Order: sequence, then C-alpha cells, then structure tokens
Amino acid sequence: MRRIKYNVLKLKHMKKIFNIIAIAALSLGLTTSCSDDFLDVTPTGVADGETVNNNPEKLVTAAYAILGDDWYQYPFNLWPYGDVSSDDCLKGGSGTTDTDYHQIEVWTTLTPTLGPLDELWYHLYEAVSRCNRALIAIENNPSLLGEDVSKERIGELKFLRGHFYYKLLTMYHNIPWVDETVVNNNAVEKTSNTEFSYDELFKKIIADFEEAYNVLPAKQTDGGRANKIAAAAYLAKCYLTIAWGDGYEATDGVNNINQQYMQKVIEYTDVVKNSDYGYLEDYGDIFLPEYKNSKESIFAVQHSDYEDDNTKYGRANWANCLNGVWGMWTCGWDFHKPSQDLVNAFKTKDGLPMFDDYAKTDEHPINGSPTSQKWDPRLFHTVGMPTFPYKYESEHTLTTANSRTPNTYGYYCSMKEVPQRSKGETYNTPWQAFAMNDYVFRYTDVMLMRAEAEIETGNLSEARTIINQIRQRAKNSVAKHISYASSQVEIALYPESYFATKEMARKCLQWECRLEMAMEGERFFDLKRWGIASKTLNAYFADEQNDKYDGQTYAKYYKDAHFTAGKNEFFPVPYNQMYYIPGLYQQNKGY
Amino acid sequence: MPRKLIKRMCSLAVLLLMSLQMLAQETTINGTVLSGTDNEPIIGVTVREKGTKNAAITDLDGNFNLKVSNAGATLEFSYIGYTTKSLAATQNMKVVMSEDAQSLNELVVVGYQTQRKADLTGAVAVVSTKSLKTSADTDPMRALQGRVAGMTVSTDGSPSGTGTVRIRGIGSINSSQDPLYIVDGVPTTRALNSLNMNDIESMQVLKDAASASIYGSRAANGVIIITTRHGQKGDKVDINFSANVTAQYYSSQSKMKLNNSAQYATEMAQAALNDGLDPVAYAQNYGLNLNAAGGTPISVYDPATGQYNNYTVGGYYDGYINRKKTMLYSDTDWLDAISQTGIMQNYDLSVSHATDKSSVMFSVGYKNNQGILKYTNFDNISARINSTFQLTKEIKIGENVTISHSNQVASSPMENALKMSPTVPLYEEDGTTFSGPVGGMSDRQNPLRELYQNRDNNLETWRIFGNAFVELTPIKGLTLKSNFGLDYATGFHNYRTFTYYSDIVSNNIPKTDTGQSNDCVWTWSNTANYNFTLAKDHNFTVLLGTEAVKAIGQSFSAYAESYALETNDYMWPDASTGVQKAYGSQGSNTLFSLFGKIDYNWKDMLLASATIRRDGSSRFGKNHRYGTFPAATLGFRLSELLKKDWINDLKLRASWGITGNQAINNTARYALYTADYGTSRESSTAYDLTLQGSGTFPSGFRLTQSANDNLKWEGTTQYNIGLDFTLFNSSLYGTVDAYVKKVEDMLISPAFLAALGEGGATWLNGPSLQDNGMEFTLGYRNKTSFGLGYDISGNLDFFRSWVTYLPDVAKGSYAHTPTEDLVQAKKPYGSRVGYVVDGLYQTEEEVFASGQPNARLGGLKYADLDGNGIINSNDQTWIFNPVPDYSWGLNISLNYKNFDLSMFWQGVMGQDVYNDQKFQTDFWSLTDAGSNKGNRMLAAWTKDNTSSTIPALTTNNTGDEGRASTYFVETGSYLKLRTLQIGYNFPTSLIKKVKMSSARFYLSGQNLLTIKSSGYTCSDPENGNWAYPHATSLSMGLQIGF
Repeated sequence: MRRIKYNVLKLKHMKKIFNIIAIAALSLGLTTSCSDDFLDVTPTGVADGETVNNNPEKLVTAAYAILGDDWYQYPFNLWPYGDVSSDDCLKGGSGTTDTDYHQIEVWTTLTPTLGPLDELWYHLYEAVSRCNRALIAIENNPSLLGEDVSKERIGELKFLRGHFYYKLLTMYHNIPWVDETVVNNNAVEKTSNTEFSYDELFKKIIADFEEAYNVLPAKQTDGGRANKIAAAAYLAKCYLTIAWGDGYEATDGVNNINQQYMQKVIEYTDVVKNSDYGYLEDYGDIFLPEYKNSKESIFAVQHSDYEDDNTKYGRANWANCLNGVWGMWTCGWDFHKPSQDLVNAFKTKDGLPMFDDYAKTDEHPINGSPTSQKWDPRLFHTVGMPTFPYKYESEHTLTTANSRTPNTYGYYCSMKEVPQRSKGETYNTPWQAFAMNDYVFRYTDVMLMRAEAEIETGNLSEARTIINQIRQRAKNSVAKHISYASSQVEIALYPESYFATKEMARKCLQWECRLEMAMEGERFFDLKRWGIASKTLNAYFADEQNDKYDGQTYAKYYKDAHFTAGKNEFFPVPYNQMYYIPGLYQQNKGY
Repeated sequence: MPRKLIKRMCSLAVLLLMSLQMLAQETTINGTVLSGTDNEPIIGVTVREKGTKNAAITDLDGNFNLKVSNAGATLEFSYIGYTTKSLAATQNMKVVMSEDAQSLNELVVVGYQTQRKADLTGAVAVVSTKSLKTSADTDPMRALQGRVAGMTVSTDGSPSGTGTVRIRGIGSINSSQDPLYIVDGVPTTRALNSLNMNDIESMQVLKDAASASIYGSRAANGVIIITTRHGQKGDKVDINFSANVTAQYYSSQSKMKLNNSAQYATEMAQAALNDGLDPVAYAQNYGLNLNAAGGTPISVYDPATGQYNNYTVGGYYDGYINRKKTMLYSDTDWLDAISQTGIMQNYDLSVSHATDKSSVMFSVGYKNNQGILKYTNFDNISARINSTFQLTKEIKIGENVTISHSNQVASSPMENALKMSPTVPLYEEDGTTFSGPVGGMSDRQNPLRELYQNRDNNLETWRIFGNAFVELTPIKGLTLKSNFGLDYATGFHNYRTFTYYSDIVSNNIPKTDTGQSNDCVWTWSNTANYNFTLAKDHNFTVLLGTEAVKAIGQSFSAYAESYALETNDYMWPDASTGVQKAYGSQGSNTLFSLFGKIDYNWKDMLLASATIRRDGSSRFGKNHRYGTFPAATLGFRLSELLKKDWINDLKLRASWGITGNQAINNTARYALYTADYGTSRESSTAYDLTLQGSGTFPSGFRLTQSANDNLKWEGTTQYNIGLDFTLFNSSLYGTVDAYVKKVEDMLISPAFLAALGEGGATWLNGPSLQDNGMEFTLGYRNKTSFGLGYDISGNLDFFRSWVTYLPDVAKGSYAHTPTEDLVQAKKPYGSRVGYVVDGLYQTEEEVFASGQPNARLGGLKYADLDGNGIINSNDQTWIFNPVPDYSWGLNISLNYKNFDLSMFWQGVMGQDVYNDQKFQTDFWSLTDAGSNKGNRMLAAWTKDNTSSTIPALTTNNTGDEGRASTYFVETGSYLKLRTLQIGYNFPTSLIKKVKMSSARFYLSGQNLLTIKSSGYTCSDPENGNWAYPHATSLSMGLQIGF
C-alpha cells in the first residue's frame, strides 16, 4: 500500500508517548521563556527619543540644517513663486513642459493639484516640526543647557519657525498654526487652516520674532545663528507686509496703509541701521561666494561644497540647481531667465529710470557696441547677455548658443545665484549646484523696507537719502567687475524733485526695489504687497509676448496668461492637504 | 514523486497487511504486477477476486499469491494512482498497470509533513514540474505564469528578472504581498532565480488559509513549497543531462511604434502650426531646419490656411543638429540600436544513487541569459548535493544544500530609448563619441552609451541555501525531527561611472561605487509527528513543533571619485585621488513560533484537521508580540460513499483559517531619530553654524518615523470550499474552489497630513479589505484508437476585491473622488479616480460653451459629471479598476509514438491598463516636448481630420490633459501563446546501444503570438511603461539519461 500507515495505538507506546510529550512540553516552556530575549531586536544606526531629547543642541542644529534642506521642486528661496510668477523672469528650461512651474508663470492653469505646491507646503511644515521638536526638548528640560543658553536657543528656534511660517503664510494664506502646544496636545490633525485669520497668524509670527528679538544678542559667537538684528529685519518685513493690507488687491494697497505698522518698520529698521551691518562697497561682490558672509549679509542660508564639508552631495544650494546657464556649466539647465521687461527696466535717461516709456522699445546691450541707450550698472551684474562676459570673466563669454530654447525663453540668463565659471561647480551629473548662500536678508533689502516706510509715513527726504545711498553704491560698482560695460552705463542720484510727492517717491522706491533686488525671489511678493500685481502683470503678459531679440520671438505662451485679482494673490492650498482629513482645511478663495 | 522511495517507506506496512491472510481456497494464482511507466514492480497492489472479499496484496517484488474459488475467476487489480484493471486469472500472470497522471496517492509536502494528495482538505495546487525543466526561463516562478489557478505571476523581460507572484487577489497594501517559499523545509522570501530548475522535484502552492496557517505569521499571501530531488533506489547510478539553447528576439509584438525623423519633424511642425507658431522657428529649438536645402520632404496641415505646407527637414547648422557641428542630422532607430538577438543557455547534469541505507543526489547547473538589450546579462552556476543516511533503524540524518553563484549586469535604458529623438545620431561624426540631446530636448542620456558604459557594472552574488536534519523514530509512527536551515547570500557590486561628453549632457568625474552586502537567515525547527489509530477506523496524525528564525542583513559600500585611468582594472577606490566616502548599515529581525496540528481520517471518507500556530515577532512591541493563527478543515470523500465505477475520486472540502503578515520594516514600531550628515541632498542634519566654511560641520538628529507600540499582526481570515473530482476511468479530472478572504488590520505607513511635519510617518494597523474569488481547473485525457494520447487541461480564476475599512487618518492617502472614498465606493485597492473623456472639441463654439478651463479645439473634452457647467475636481469619478475579470491558462499536450507536442496559452480578460506610454504616443507636449514620440500622433486631430480620436497636437499643455482621465485607461485583455513545444523521444532500441536509458530532443517557442484588445494602443499589454521588454524566443534542447 502506498499510503501513510496508521499505527494501532498500544498501551506500551502510551507511556513512551507521554514521556516524550512531557519532555517536549518542558523544552517548549524553556524556549518560550528564552524567546522574549530572542525577540528583542533593537534598531541599529539610529537614536531613540530619550537620547535625542537629552541632547537638545542637536535638535537645534537640525532645525538650522533644514534651512538648506530644500530642492528645486521646493525651493525655500521661492524663486519660482517670487520671480517666474512675475514680470522679472521667464521659467526657462527645455520648454513649457520642463518642471511644473509653467502654471505659475501663466497663472490661468494654476490649480491646487500642482505638485510643487504640495511639496513646498510639506517641506515647510517639516521645517516647522524640526523647530517645534527642539523647542519641546528645551522647554521640557531647561536645565540641560542652563537657563541662559536655553533662552537663547528658544529665541533662535522661534526665529527659524517664524521664518518658515512667514513663507507659508505669504504663499498659502489659509494655513494651520502648529506650535509646541499643538504638538504636545496631539492636536495637529484637529487643527484647521482657518482657526486663525491671516492677521492673527501674522501676529503669531511677529510674536515669535519678538521673542527672538528680545533674547538674542546683536552678534552671535557662532556666526551662522540668528541674532537680534536678523529678528529686527524680519519684524520690519512682517509689519511692512501687513501695513499695506491683507494681501488681496481689493483690500490692500495705498488706500489701506496702517501708519502704526509703518512706524514699527521704521523702529525695527533703525536697529538694523545702527548695527554692524552695512552696504558692501561693490554691488557685484554681494553675489560672489568669497563675500558670502560680509557685512551685507544679515541672515543667509549657509551653503558649501561637498569637497569642503565631507558630505556626499555638499550642503550646496540645490534650490537653484536648475539655474546655471546652458552650455556654460557641465549641466546648466537654463532656468530662471530674465525677461526683456526687466532688462528694459534698467534703462536710464540722464542716469534716472525711464518710468513711463521704459518698455516702449526693446534694447539689447551689445558688448563693445554702445548705443545711445544707457543702463543702470546693476543690469550687468544681474542679467547675463550674449556678447558679455559671464559673471565678469571674459574667457567665459556668453553667446546666443548659451540659451537652450531661445524662441521660448529668449537669450538672457540670471547671474546672481551662480559663482564665476572658473570657481567651478559643486557636483555634477545629473545635477549641479553651487555653494552660494541664499540671502534671507541683506542690508540693502532692509534699507529699502525702511525707505518704503519712511515714504508712507511722510518722511520723503529720508527715503531719498536711503535710495540715493543704494544708487551711489551701484554707481561705484563699475570699475571692479564690469568695466567692459562702462560706456553703456549711466546712473544718477535722485534730485529732490523726484521725492516731492508720495506718489512720485513711491514710484522711485518701487523701481529701486525692482532693480536692486531683481531675480532674488521678491518681485511678485512686492507687487502683491503694493496692491498692483494684476495691473502690472497683465500689462506685462500683453507686452512681453511681442518682444523680440535679434529677430527672434519668444514667450508666445503669455497669450494664455492672466493674473486674476481676488484669487491669484495667494497660491491654493495643495489638493492633497485638503483631503487627508476631509473637512479639516478650507481652500483659499477663487480656487 | 520519488515513487521508489515511497515504496520503500511503505514496504513494512505492506508486509503487515499481507498477514491478513484469506481463507484457503481451491486454486492458487500467482503473478507479478509491474508499472507500465517504468516496468518496475509495484508493491501493495490489491488483487481481489471479483465479486468477493477475497484479496491479496503484492509484495516488495510485485509478486502475489491468491487462492481463488475457481480457475476461471476474474481478478481485479487496484492501486490508488493507477487505473484499475480486471483480468481473467491465469498462472504466472504478468500484469502491467498504467499510472494515473493525477495520482491521488501522490504524497505532497504540506506544512512540516507529507500528506496523501487524496487526504488534502485545503486548497493546494500541485504544480507539474515537468514543463519547468524545458522552459526557457531563468526564474522558476516566471515559468509558472498562468499554470496555477489563482496564482498571478507578473514579470518583465530582463535576464535576471524574477516573477512577482500574487496568490488569490490583493493580500495586503503596504506590507509585503509576496508568498512565502519553503524550500526543503526552509522558509525564504528571497528570489529563486539562483535555483536550478532541474533540481526541483515537486512544487505545491498552498492557497487557502487552512493549508498555509501552519506557517502562521508569514503565510497570509500563500505558501509555495518546493522539494528538491533525491537519489532514487536502483541498481545503477542515475545520470541525467539536459541542455537547452534559446535565441530571444525583440519582436514587433513588444516593440513600441516610434517615429522616424520625417515623422518626428511632421509632428513637431504640426504642433507648432496648430498653436499658430512658425514651425521653422520652433524646430530650430531642436536643431532642425525645416527649409533645408537637401533633406527629407514632409507635408503638414496648416489650420490657418487650410492647406498642406511642404518642408524639407535637415540639420539646422549646415546639416548638423548641434551648434558645434559634431552631430549630423540622422534617422536613428534607437530601439534597434540597443537591442540584439540574445542567446540563453541552460545546462544541467545530475548524478544520483540510493540504497536502503542512503541516498545521494549531486547536480550542477549552468544558465546564461544575454537578454535582448545589449550589454545586459545574467548567469548562474549552481551545485547541489542532497543526501540522507539511515544510521540505525531509529535515526536518519540528511542534508540538502545548494551553492550558487550569479552575476548580473542590469540596465534600464527603455525610457531614454523611446524618448531620444531619431534625428540624433548614435555617435558624433568622429564615429566614437556618443551623441546626446541638443537644444530644447530634455536632458536624456544616449541609451546606447548608458548600456555600453554599464556593461561591466556587475552585481555578483554567492548564495548558500540548504538544510541539515536529524530524524528519530523511537517508536512506530512517531517521528521527531530537528531541522536547521540556512539561507546565506553575499553580494558584491562594483559600479563605475566613466566620463563622457555627449554634447550638453556630460560627466567629467570618473567615480566608483563598490560595496558588499550579507544577508543571512537561519531557521531552526523541531517537530514531533505521530500517527495512530483508535478503535480501528479512527486514524490520527498529530504534529507539534517549534521554530526559531533569525535574519540579519548588513551592507557596506564605498564611493570614490577621480581616477587617473578610466579602466575597469584601475578604477578601485585605492586608486582614487578625489573624494571618498563610506556607507554601511545593519538590520535584523527574529521570529519564534509554536505550532500544532491534528489530522483525522475516518475510513478515508471523512477527513478533518485542526491547526494552531502562535508566532512571536521582534517587529512588534511587547503588548502585541504574539499572534495566534488557528485553522480547521473538513473533507468528505463522496467517492467512498457512492462507490460508483465511473467515479474514481470525488471529494468535497471546506476550510477556515487565519494567517498573518508581518512583512514590514524591522524597525516599524520605533521612533527613529537619525543623524544624516549628508548622504542625501535634501534631508541633512548638518549645518555650518560657525561659518567655518569647510571641515566637519555640527550635525544633529531628525525624526524619520514616529513610534507605535501598539502595532500588531495583520490578519487574514479565509474561508474556502472546494471540490476535487476524477471521473470516467480517470480521464476527466478537475478542481473547483471558492473562497472568501478578509484582510484586517493591514499594516500601513500611510501618507500623512503635512502639518505633522518630519517624522509624521508611522506604521499602523489600518485598512481592511475583502477578496471573493473562484478557481477552476478541468482536464481531460485519453488515448485514441490509433495511439494518439492527449491531455487537455485548463484553469480559470477570478476574484472581486473591495476595501471595507479605512482609518480616518489614512483616507486621504488612498484614491478618492471629492465625495467618495474606496470604502464608500466599494472599490478595490489600486483603483484610480479621474475625469471622463467625452471625445474631442470639434468646434470653437463647443470650446467656448464648455466651462472647461483652458479648453482647446481638438483637445480632450471632459464630461461635466455634476452638470454644473464647470469642469473642476468635482467632475472626477472612478475610472480604473486593477482587478481583471478573469485569468486563464490552457495546456494542450499530445503524444504519438515517439513524438510529443505541447502548447500553453495564457490570458487575462477584462483588465484595465493605465497606459502611461500614451503620454509619449498621443501628446506632443505632455512630457518632454521635443523628445521622440509614437507615430500614432501622425493621425491626430486637425480640422482636416476631425474623425480622429487623438487630440490635436500642441506645443504647450495648457489644457492640463495629462490629468488622470479615461483617455489613458485601456482594456488590456490579452491572450498569449506562451509555449509551443515539439519533442521526440529516441527509441529505446536505439539508445540502449549507447547505454542511455532515455533521450529526448525538443524544439520550443515562447511568446510566439499575442492577441490583445483592439483598444489597447501599447504593443505589449504586460508592459505599459518602460520596463525591460519581453522577448519572443526559440529554443532547442536535449534531455538524456544513463
């Protein structure tokens, strides 16, 4: 029989079986008791919560580190949202389908499902959580660092948290406020993004900066840490933003100015003015890595090269990794391309801007072939143009070949965020990045805020003084780096007449902001603050698509562009976030 | 099955039963019973005088003696697994019995024991391993595609690729869906492509929970039990040799339909003209001159004039496509450039021998697969030795061990090959520099360069897999076994990146990434098996056991850059002059289990079993460390009750059981704080706080995962009822199973609300789902009067699946419409939502009236589902269901004289495919405008071609037409002729002269024919993205035995 045979159970076997069962049971019992040890496997290469919370300094360091933990799809310097969205710049790259930023450029196709919006939101909250985690560790056990250090670190963390929240709020409007109390109460998933109004949220951010301002020293031993002056600069920026209104054009702008807040701006910028910080002598130096922590730099995100910092990829500036010009670098993807409108804005007549007719004709400076058109010298520091040296090095001269898709994005390139070509790149294939710091605040930026507040509070001459100082520095910034353009440069200080009325002074200030801060990620937010985004952008869309360079048309896609006031002032709350917990969040109006 | 081995095992039993002597009768008939299969005697055949209770049983030599009432009596020879035979009694009878192909008495290996197939009460599929041995595949699982009802195998075509096996629908969401493999009693979840297919003796698929629950915690996705070959008792040493050579082709049935240069330029110009742009200027972005003096003429419809414009396509820079004038305008077929006819070879040699005291089997196998893409490769050599020794009557020891070495070179160039423009040449004009993209083309790499420079970047793996056991039989029926299993794999990779300058894409730093990984899993199991009979007819088998498993994985690697020479021999980290980095990590987990099973058999008619297993896992916290997995089955052999001639076997069975899943990260329950100094670009914890500029920066910790101490086992409860039948002289056979499977407390690490911040990721026991399904297997075999033997068998299965519960915090992580989640919609996991495409916009009036933002003429028209006149996210609905209507396989084998022919068809019906390739084949600018596209687009909508269903081409995706929509959902039903094989067995008379015992030659073709739904626009329904393509292949082979 080919089958399993069953034994007849006999009594003599029974005893044996019982013995075996007894032994088996015993050994099972033994193995079971041992098994708990056997089943204890602890993770390797990681730390547990207790260890970490006993080392709060490490959590503070990590909170600083996330300043630079960004990427071109979620750049914390917001270049797509501040520049591509505006009249300063075109997206660039291989075409309109390269990255998802085209929607931000034309606005009409912008929807809450846009991927980078979700990534940015997510990573900014990641940053907030690093701050909160460190705050909780210190606040729970202040004795670990001692009272003084604890206080200071709390101030720094609140500065950092305020910094990330400022970006969240000015980008997305309806945002949930998550601080250490919310985390401790385990209430994050119950916190709505409409619990606090825009105004209330700004107050909370201001409170964070105020705490930083109150406890931080004017100068830190560790130069990378936030100090009192940086907090003052941020407080000024917060107040300046809300001094104009709530961000929506209908209720923002010159008719809505809050004088009290403007006073605050003056108050806090005064602190900056009286600090050790100041104007760097040459405008070009501001954007060279060797000057990265100069007196101009009030607070900046520190970046370094992988050959210097022992990391695999470098703590380099990955936010800007697409922004190297085409054909110049090992792999420059040619994003972030200045518009003709921006170039036109640098035109000068008798050394002063051509406010009303700057865009009537298109002019393109050619190296060595000066025309009668004169230009603000900052153009040659900001915009890379064919025939000119790339970032001052004549051995690296730009040509029309340095544009990837000229009949979509034209021939200009952005130079502030890149080092000189001879200084090399940080890492190549498939990406390259530069060890260039990202300014959060440079001194001039704060002084422009001050000038803005001086104008709105009626102190026009003080504003003129500031703006003329800035222009004087620009004037002084030719010989060192851009002597090749000297014959095309003309810049003058504003005579008193330009600051006779608020309207005129405002125009000068806004123009100065555009020129001085061009391509630094601010433009759209400035236009929004001033309440002139729709007017400015829609005029720009109509104009730029007809511009030509050397017979070449480009930016035709602007025919689909339109900025809708009452909606587009803020970006939509990302679709994904709306649905994780149905009903928790409200979308911004218009989306 | 090792029939001779079983014979030996059963011989004692046979002798015992022989003593059941019948009463003395008048005549004694003697004779011998032989098996028709191999002419060997059969032991234990029941020889009964027909119509009486008078019977005898054949002895060890197949002999019998039976006293019969009269000399003319009819004798009935029956033996389970053989066709019953009736013959008139004569002296010295020589009876040849023929075997049932589907032998019921076959012993199958189930959890920790063997069982007669006839006694099985769970859903267990016994896989025919015969077809595996001639299959042109490197992975045994890939060869099983379509062979087992309820088992889905999906795979790509890569030489080293392994099949992804899914048993009975969707088993889990975030934790593993892979089945557990048990090879000679040793569990593993590692791929089996290093296993020599010729070593496989038997394979069983345990589908229902009751069968699998003895493997408890890891059995929720089914269990596949593999037993390797052993030496077979015989006079001589068995030697077997087989060889197989296969030629593989990248045939048109899996090749994508791409543009040539003229078609590419036509589509490009059409997109520009549709947008009112000057195509001549637009084409310059891509290095093309549409008004070339000499070149390819094209004709493109201009909607502005209603005329066709003629252009001549050439390189923009004096015939070159790049400004440097190194790349001539070309017409490159990139798929052709990267593919080849790949040769695959398989060789196997085995030597085996067995005596009463011992058995030994030794084998060596070699396989080499070049693949159909150039410079990809997989080869494997393995040696196995299996042996057993009966030391005393009570003690037996044995081992099975295989050592294998694999080497693989893998690359995935398909996406680049599809997207690289045909206008780009393979090489620059110098004939050696690999070309690259130009201008507005996206930064795609030259796929041939990628393959070529990757050709020596290999992963080398050594694997030792095996077990050693000692088996005690202290008393009859009791077997104590201790088995130690080891699965040790060590891998070494050496990847070099060379410098290259392909126009705009380049790399100027040579670098290497070299590393080693060790994975070791040991399993120690101890079992006691006792079978006994109570009160004559009540047969019991009791199994008790313990098992401990420990898995440790370690990896270490080094990265180094800058080398003076760029050669394989030189580029080792010691020689690097630049940055050097080291990486390494370790992880481990353990399991400890207790289990027991009791089987009951009453007169072979009523069968029942109960199982319980208790598993502890290091992956769970103290509160929930142990999980208990019970099961019970009941079977009823109707055939034993009915006793009809035409019913050979008829069994009804039912089972219930719970199995578990713990296939999650080893550290899933912990809060994890990591120090990321700088292994990632965007999640570092290091910062230059002190403005030191260089050196080592201060670094901190970040939370990457939050703790969950309440994490517990994922549990699957499964009910199964089934029917097995063998009818009409064993010619008609089949199985029907129906099951209900409920997966609860699924282990997930869902996407989370961003406001939770970093470390918001946490594992939790979340969703539940249910699968209901049925499986059918039916076969018919017979022989015609003129000697044509045939066996036709088919299998069919289907299941329906739906999510039954989602935790609130995870609802947003899974597909949902604005109003319905998966549970509310009763949809399966993997469903997708999107817009419904309702044709194309045919007129400007229609566009204007649409309420669809940025609608365009000739563009996709989305249905306004809520009828509010606006197309927005509220108009999304369920558009994609991942569950096919049904899957099936059909096997036809014929044999006539020395020839045999077999054919295997496999199909899937009613399957949705989300065709991502359509981004490239139907739209100029959804992704990578300027990259190559499919030639389908030549027939896109224009005012002159309004009946087209392909949207009008545009340079700019203003209409957001890449959003999820029914446009991309296609019916991927298909039917494939997987195998067609013709074999010839050399006549015994001929091969005896060369001392062979058997010799077979065969020719075989794989993937010869694909029939697919007309609505499916991709070439291969099994490859809707950029995976390694499936080959069509032809092979020939030889199998000989000595």
